[in-house]
Parts: sequence; structure tokens; C-alpha cells
Amino acid sequence: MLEIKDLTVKVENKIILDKFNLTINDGEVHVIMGPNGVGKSTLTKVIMAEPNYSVVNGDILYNNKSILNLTTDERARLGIFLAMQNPPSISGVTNSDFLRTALSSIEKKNINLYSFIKKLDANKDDLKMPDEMVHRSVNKGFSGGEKKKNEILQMKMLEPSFIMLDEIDSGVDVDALKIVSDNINEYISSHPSSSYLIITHYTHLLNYIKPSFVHVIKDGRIIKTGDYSLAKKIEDNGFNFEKVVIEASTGSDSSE
Amino acid sequence: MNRIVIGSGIIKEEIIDDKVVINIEKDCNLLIEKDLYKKYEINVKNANLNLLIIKEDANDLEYKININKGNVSFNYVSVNSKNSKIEANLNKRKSNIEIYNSVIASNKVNYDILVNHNACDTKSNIYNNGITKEDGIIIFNVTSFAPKKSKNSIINQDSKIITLNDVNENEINPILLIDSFEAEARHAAFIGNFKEKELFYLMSRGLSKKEASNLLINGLLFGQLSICFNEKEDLKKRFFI
Repeated sequence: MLEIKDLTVKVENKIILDKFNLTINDGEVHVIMGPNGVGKSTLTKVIMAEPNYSVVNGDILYNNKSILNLTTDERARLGIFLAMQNPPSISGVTNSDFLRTALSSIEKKNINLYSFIKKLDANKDDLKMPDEMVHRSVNKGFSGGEKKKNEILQMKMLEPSFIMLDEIDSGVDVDALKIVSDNINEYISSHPSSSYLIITHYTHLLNYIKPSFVHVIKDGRIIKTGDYSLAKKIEDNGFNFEKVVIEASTGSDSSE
Repeated sequence: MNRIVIGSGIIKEEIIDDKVVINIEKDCNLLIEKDLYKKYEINVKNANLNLLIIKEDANDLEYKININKGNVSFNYVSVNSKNSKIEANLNKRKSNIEIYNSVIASNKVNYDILVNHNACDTKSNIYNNGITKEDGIIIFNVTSFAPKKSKNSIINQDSKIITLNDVNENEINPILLIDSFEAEARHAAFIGNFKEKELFYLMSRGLSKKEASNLLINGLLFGQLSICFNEKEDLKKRFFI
């Protein structure tokens, strides 16, 4: 599905990702953990072609084809989706207008209004979002939890195949986290060939969503790969890398 | 939203010195569109008014709204209309106005907006949103006056001009004349292009740059108006950029 090869990324003359490698196959859930400022969000933005990030070296392959020359919207239309950590609010553009336009762009046809409303209502109910939220301006006046639910609503409406969730658990209360996680799990079940890249600082989310792999990132590279137990070790020890890496190596985890 | 069209004879209007005078004493929704008059005086007394004005290629327009207790939503959509003046007088307690001024300019247009808070416990929100294209230049002169007697009044000005052309002569002049220590006043002004972060967000959901820009333009000009959904959709189709 997605292959990142020797990717080096620069932002304002600073190398953020350095010869970064990662392969995510169909149906896998990968989690990236690490302290602030090590390049976790940069990775998601560079996959989504955020214009402020420039690729110095390496390649990103999606279904065995390089996507480096594609624009953000072209990548989105291939099925790549980024649920953002801090999505912007957009005055005057309603959620429903936005979603209908996005669906028309992705499906390259006008969307039947009846089927659109039916799908929107069902997904909105799954996420326990109030009716009026779909008619409000995108993220305008939304709480942290409402913004994250809105990101998941968009995911469910657009049905992408490669999904990046950047700190979907930050600014979310326990009830909202449960709803968001339940909806992600339901999506994983109903879209078994979809793949996921989850960025998080905490293991709370991983109590609900079981990862295939957990990666620890430092200085723009993956320094350790393991399973859910690696995330638990981080929770116990913090990002004390020597301890995490040594303990993980003596355990049953696989390492790069 | 059913609107009474000014000039249709349903509501009583007086013509005084080339000025149309309308007195509103019960809640209503009005539309001013296809008429020959350039000056209006609307007097609202103990009532709520939702007004939609649509003007294309009209010049030297003047609207004066006197509110003696009540709420007014003043929605003004104008395309290449030079020199518009809007004056609102909040004369009694609990007199409030929201002005939504949406402008499309292909030539130089000038808007003078003045709100006088002549009583305590009054509230005004002014939202100016403009798009310039071709040779368009927009000048927003926005004045809010709160004299000593306007205790506990709330004043807000929010003006934005998005430039789709290369002409850099747009102006936003927010003027807050506040004499009351107990009035609350704020303003925001922005001239430039759409934010990169907004475009990236929309494009990350599959919209092309053109589709994303069109969505933002429609949202800016019509999405924020205090009118019903169907009216917004009609305006989007009619003034598609």
C-alpha cells in the first residue's frame, strides 16, 4: 500500500526526517510514537503534500507508484486521508457543502442528494454528533472533541484507503475518545484492506485500537519497532530511549 | 423565508424627497432589489427585521436605519455598486443590529458604514466581506460611535477583503469612537489571499485548488449572511465567480 524509501525532508533549512523508511501493507495499523518535535506530524504532512515541506531525497510509493509529483488533491483522490491534529475553522462553508463538494471531486460525478443525506445522517448518528453540526461552518466554534469527531465523519464519508490519524486523541475527553475509537474500529472492520498510520503520544487510544506495529521515532528516524507491548513500555518509562530500546530488545519484540 | 418585496405594495412606503421611508412595527422579512430608488430610511419600533438588499451596478446608495428597540439583520449583497452609505442609529435600550455586507468588486467601490449607539445596552456587529477581481478596489470605512450614554453596549467590527487580482489599493479603515468606559468594543481587519492552511485542508479532502477557492469565496460572501439556505443557494448560482 504505502512505502517510504530513504525519505529526507527539510523545513526552513532544517532536516526533520532523515533517510526515513517505512512500509505499510494492506490492512495494517501502524502507530508512531515519540516526543514532541521529532518529525511525527511532518511525516503525515509530507505524505499529504503540504506545500511548506520539501522532500530533499527519497520517495513515497502508493500502490507501487511514486506520488511525489502529485498535488495534495490528487493524492486525496487516490484514497489518502489525513485527520489533522488542529484542523482549521472555515467561516461560511458548511460541513455538508464541504463534504458534498469533496465527494463529487473524489467520485468525479454529481452526488445524489438523497443518498448523500442518508449517509451523512447515519455517520453523524454513529459519532453522536448533533444534527445542526453538519449545517454549521467547518470546525467553527467546535470543541476539541467535536473537531476530532468531524475529522472522523469526513473519513467515514469519503471512505479513503490509507488513513493517517495525527493525534486524534489529543483534546478529547474519555467519552468522545471512546466514540471516536469505536468508529475507527468499525471502519477498520468494514474496510479490511485499508491501512492506517496513527500518530500518538499516549497509549489510551491503543487500548481501543490494536496496532499491528508500534514504531518509536527519534531524530527523524525510526529507532525501534515492536508491537503493543512497546507502547506499554513507553507508557511505563516515558521516552527514555535507552531503557525502552534495551528492554524491548530483551523482550519478544521485533526490531528494525 | 418569505419576504415582502419593497415596491410590491404589500407594505406601506412613503416617498419623501426622493427617499423611501418605511416604518416597521411588527416582525417582518423584507427584500429590496429591483427598484429605482437610491435612498432609504427604515424606522424599526419594537420589532425584529430581517432585510436583504441585492444591488448590481448601482451608484450612490444610502440606507438609514433607526431602531427604537428591536433587532435588525441587515444583509447587503452588492456587485460593482459604487459609493454605498449605511447608517444605523440604535436609539433605545435593547436595540441591536447585525450588518452583513458582501461585496464583489470589478471596479473601485466605496462603503461608509456608521453605527451610532445612542442608548445603553445596545449591540452592533458589522461583518464586511469583499472579493476584488479584474480592476476591483474596495474601501471599507467603518465607524462605530459609543458616547457616554451607551453604557454596557457591545460593538464589533470584522472586515475582510480577499484579492483575486493584482491591485493593491484596498483599504479597511476601522474607526472606534468610544466615550463610554463601560462599552465593549473590538475590531478585526484582513486584506490578502485565502489562508494556505484553509486551502490545504480543503484540498486534502480531494477538492482541486479551483474548487477549494470557489467554496471559500461562496462561504465568505454568502455563507455568513443571516438569510435562509435557499436564498444563499440562489445567490451562489446568480453571482458565481
